[in-house]
Amino acid sequence: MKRSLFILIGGLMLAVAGFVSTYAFATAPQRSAEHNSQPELVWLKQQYQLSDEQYARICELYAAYHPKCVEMCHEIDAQNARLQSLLAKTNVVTPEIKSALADAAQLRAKCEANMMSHFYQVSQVMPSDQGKRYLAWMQKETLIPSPMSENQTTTK
Amino acid sequence: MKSNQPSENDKSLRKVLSEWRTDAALPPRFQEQVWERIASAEAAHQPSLFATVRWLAALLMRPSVATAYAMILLLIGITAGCQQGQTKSESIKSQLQTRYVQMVDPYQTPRR
Repeated sequence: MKRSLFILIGGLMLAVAGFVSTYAFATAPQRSAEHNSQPELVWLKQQYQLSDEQYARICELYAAYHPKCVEMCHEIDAQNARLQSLLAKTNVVTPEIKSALADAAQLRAKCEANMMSHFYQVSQVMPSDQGKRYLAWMQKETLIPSPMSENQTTTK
Repeated sequence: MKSNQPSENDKSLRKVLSEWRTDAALPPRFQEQVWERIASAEAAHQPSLFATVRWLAALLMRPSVATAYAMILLLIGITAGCQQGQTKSESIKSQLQTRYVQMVDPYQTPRR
């Protein structure tokens, strides 16, 4: 009876050990990325199969781009705040609102140009096919507007 | 298989039985007691939980059964771990992908 109990518990422990080891193996790359200071860039390295040198270069490019990105964020916030206050004051499109909308469009164009410049630099560091894949994905995620859903087109 | 019904041909036995009379009274609660005895006899034939556990324990002592049991549990553990790991891995990848886009696109950066 004692030996049977030992076999019973041993089997269960074996199942737990099997679970833990395969779970740890399957999530190892993502867990190691999460422990890094910039897990998003480690993800990029894994996703686009970058070498250590390419990864280091992309980290440098990001470090150079980050202050510009922060500055653009502030400009966008200031622009949005200005537009909101103008819209709240009236119920017609005033010349000031038109001017603010034009400024917002100009700012978006400037931001997108900066982004694209960064994306091109990053893609040039990557192997050619991976660079093309990265550019296509980034354009889809940031520049190309998502198609209107059926609900949006019919709710008019 | 023998039938419990009296044979059609056994006329003499049927005749005796039809003529047989008895004055003896049945004991009190006779029918109830008969059913109780039937129920207890049936219960005695059913395997108890302890007997089942003992049977399983004896089964596990056989090396082939013990090996098969361990292998099946190991396989279940590995399969479950693999599935859970893949789900978790995909979830982390998806989060990092979204965060990367937010990191480089000022229009998607989460605001405080």
